[in-house]
Amino acid sequence: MDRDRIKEILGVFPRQRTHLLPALRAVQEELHWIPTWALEEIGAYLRVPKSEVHGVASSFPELRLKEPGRFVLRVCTGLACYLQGGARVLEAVGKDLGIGVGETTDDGAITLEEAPCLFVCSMAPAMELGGGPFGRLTPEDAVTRLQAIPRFPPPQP
Amino acid sequence: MIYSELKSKANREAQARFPRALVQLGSCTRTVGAGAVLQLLQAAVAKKGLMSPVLVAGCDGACIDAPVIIIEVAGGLTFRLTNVGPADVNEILGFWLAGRPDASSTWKGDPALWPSSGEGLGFWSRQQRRVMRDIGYIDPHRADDYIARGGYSTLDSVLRSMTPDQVVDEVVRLELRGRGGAYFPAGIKWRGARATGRSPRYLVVNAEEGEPGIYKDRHVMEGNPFLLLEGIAIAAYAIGAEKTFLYINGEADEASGRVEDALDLARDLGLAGDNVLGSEFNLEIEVRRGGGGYVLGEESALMNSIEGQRNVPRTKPPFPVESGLWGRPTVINNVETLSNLPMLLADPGADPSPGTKLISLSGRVQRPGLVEMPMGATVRDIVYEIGGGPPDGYDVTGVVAGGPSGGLLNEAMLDVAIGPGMLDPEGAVLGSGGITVFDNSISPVEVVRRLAAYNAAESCSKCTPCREGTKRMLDLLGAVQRGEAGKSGLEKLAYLNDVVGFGSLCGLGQMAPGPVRSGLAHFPEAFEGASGG
Repeated sequence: MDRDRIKEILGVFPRQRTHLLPALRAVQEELHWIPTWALEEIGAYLRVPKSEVHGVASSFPELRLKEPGRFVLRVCTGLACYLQGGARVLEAVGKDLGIGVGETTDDGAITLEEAPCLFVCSMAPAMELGGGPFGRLTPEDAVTRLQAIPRFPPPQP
Repeated sequence: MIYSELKSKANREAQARFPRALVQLGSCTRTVGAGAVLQLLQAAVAKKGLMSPVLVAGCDGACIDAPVIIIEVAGGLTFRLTNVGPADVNEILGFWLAGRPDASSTWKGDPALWPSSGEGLGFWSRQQRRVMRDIGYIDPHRADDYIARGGYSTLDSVLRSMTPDQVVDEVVRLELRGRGGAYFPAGIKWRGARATGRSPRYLVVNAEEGEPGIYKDRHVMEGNPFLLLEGIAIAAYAIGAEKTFLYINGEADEASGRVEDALDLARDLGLAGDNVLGSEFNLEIEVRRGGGGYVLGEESALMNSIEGQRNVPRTKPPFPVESGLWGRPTVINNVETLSNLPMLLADPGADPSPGTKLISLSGRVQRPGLVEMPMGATVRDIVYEIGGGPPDGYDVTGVVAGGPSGGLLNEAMLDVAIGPGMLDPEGAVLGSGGITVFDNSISPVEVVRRLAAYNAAESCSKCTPCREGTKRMLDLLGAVQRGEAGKSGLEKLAYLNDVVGFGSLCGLGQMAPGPVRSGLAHFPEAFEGASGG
């Protein structure tokens, strides 16, 4: 199913290597990460060796080659955020979730990451939860925001 | 469509549009609920059955005031309401419906009439707003707003009255400097690409903006994408570019969405695509998105990514104007550079080179935000007049100028004037315009270590001095903090600074020693005290 969907997504791109990064991004948008089989599909479609597809994909930090939780929590500890308490925000949410940076909660809901900059430095300290940006945070605000995330796997159909 | 038709349509719109509200919604203000304020105000206006539009604008740079709502009423009066919350929506509606509030109207105790001559406006006082002039006060989704304020008149007159070579000569003469950080004269690049006599030639617009502490290009793209598109059109015409790649940071979705919408509209209006404004000039623009990493902003790494190659830089020379994308002559210009172009050509005397610089001000100041300063303003002006100084009870100890590729200045050095290039031989640069203020809540050694950790993590690993050197520098800084480095550790650090700065392939490595070198030079007590003698 997924494989057919990926083939369909790739179909919009001309079969030229210049479209490698756009294709990787399009696949990640659909699946939230890029599994190995998708790297192979991209390579076969764009006629790029899969080793090079992996080489290119792994050189871009925004591309995920490992499956994240359903929501990604990115806490900024870049200099501007660090100066305004970003590390305390990171510590508070990590403690609340019971996980460290790079880890995912047991129910697969939230992956915690430390962001080097979210480019909203005037709103420091900042974080992003499931794509939603939050600024001027206190550690308490940040923990409160976590409550919006459903913490158990959705019921299976 | 030809320009005169667009202009008269825009002018008619401008007459008919009052009253209207603009909610300043940018990637910055969205973090504090500006999106919710927009939705609530739109719903409230719809519920009352009012015809007045509630529109979106970009953030005007005073991010500290966010969420901000601009209200324009008949008679040319403009009100600027700050720190608006969801609970304020009804009051705003009342304020707006009152028709024509008098000039003494206040909002939460501040003069709301805009522009105001009141006190407490230090944030605005020393700015020279050119690129930022309309940002926050126009709707980035409507070309009419931009055209009614003079937009696209420069492109029209360029296409009617100048040959590409004349545009190049004029931009060389006016010394438009690249605002991406290198301040290389844009016209010289253009001339270089034309002089190859080869085609196709490409224009790449560097909107990758991946340096921590910088958010200027996002403000421009979110607040006035048509300004950038007009600048691109002029540059592409002058260069004779067959195609333009507009390369936007992979996470800057707000900016990218507005630029892509603006581009669609521009094509519909004949401002992009074939036969721009009825001329023979064709403007083909393809938007590309990045995949992250500091090095991606380096122009040759960026070109590699367009070609489908790894995110690593190339050796230079050859330079992109000779051999860029697919070996073709390629000009790479920054968003801010091209956004200066329409006004510069329209009125060359108003802002002689080196012009203004957008400064992203962050860290320990009372009023962080994005400001446009004339070159020659001092860092002290920016920190204290614009930024309002440190939080109460703290003292500024220094600033980082130029981010991880720049350096530290101590408090006594803040009288340095901003200008193209180095602010201090030890490291601080104007660069892409990031100034992050630090105070006595942090040790300067920790500031340096965090910047060094960033550089070590972001090294692409292609060349040895950067890959190994930045990690060794970080190890040594850790030893300094633990009191284990000693005098010999500081000497090794100084030596590594020279090796990494000299021997690295690209700017990331070459500039990586800046924070360390400037920290050692300008905060010697902090380093010696920490190093363990």
